[in-house]
Amino acid sequence: MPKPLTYESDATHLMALRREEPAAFEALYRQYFRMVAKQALVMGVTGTDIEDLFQELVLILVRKVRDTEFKLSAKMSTYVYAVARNLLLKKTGKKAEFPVEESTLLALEESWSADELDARIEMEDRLNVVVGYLELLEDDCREVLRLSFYEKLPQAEIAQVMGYSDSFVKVKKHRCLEYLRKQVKTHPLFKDLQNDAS
Amino acid sequence: MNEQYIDTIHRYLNKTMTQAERNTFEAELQRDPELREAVELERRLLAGLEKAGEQRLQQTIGTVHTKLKDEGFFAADAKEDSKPELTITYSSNRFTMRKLISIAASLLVLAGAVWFFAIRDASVEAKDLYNEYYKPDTDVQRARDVIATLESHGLAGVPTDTDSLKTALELYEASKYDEALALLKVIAEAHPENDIAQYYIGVIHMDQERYAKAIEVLLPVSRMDNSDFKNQALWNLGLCYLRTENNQQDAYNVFQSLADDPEYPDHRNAKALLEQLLPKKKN
Repeated sequence: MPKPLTYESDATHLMALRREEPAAFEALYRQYFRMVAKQALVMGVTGTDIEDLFQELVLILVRKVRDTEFKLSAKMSTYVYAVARNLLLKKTGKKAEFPVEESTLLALEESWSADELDARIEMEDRLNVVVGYLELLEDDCREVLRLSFYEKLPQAEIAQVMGYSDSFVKVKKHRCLEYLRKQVKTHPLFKDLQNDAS
Repeated sequence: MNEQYIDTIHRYLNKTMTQAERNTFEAELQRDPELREAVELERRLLAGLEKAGEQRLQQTIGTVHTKLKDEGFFAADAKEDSKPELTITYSSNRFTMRKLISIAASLLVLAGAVWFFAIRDASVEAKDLYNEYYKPDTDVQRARDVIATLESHGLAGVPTDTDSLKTALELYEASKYDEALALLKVIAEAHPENDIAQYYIGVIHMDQERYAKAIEVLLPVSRMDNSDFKNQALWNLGLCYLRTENNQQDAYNVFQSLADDPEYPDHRNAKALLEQLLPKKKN
């Protein structure tokens, strides 16, 4: 049996999850997968469905942790349990027999009407355009944009991570974004900006 | 665009303006259509960057998941959790009726078991056929061959469509499926006739077990008479039919047409697959 990876505290584990460290994800699996699997089996979810559910759970948890306003107000296991329960209720189509306070902390996807779904699909297509062009940028450009706009790190921290000066990060970020903007604007899905903006 | 102007838009979108600033900005938005357009563009750019980060996160989680799976982490768990679901006890019967009921019940259980295993075998068979005949390595090699033929004619620093396709195939080759798929979709949308982009969108869907989506994309490619990917698209289409419900007849038709085509280099393989598929069809 592999030795479980553990962190000093939930807070340090959450910080590592925020940095998206693979070891932090592994620790999450080793500490909580069994608990979630048991909960799932009781609710009739089995096999690879449990694995898929846990993957979704990790994703939701990291999204939550990345929120700058997130404060850990309960034990990590409580959060994991609440997310798992929400996901299981959603998957099995069952309603909660009694309100679970923690579950409200971690809202899941809402259901969409047909129009909303169409709009969402269209938006997804547009976002895929950005993702596609982003892949064409040189590695440094992609990384500076990722750290700035996804990780939302302060300029000084980006400079430290990438070994640049503060001022160079500022210039680089602006140039890379400008280049991406120009590329994206050439795509047909971005020709309707005027209509969408009005 | 002016750096300060962009920063202001970003602060508006990130909701980090003071209320007074926000009010002024929104009043300006009402007046200035160019500003509205710029805000819309930045909104999409930032959301796209967010999505790219999210995809990277999913990939990291997926890698950890696969590593644990390879280690047998989930299998061990299933083993511990699996318990015999049904325990049959037998006691001596004094009454004939009870014996009869018992025998009838046993026969029912037996019939159920035979039915269950027959059904299970049928589904396993299609899956096994798929696993036996789907060779992702062939598609990777094909992607490498295509990459070698793609030469950029773009000016320095400005990627052409060829560059984009090359990058997309390189990403596919490196198993970065989400990024490859996003880029291929961009290419396919601008050039729906591009069979290579369409084909690899289908292949990535197959790799990620989205067979219905793969069928949607591979079907048109399999009908492009002038495409070098036509037959391979048809082959993969047949395999996808094997993995979707109620499409066994379509799978049969696809492999039959490939087996009957002497110019299709792999027609012997199609025949072999068809022979394994035939007993099922007769049933």
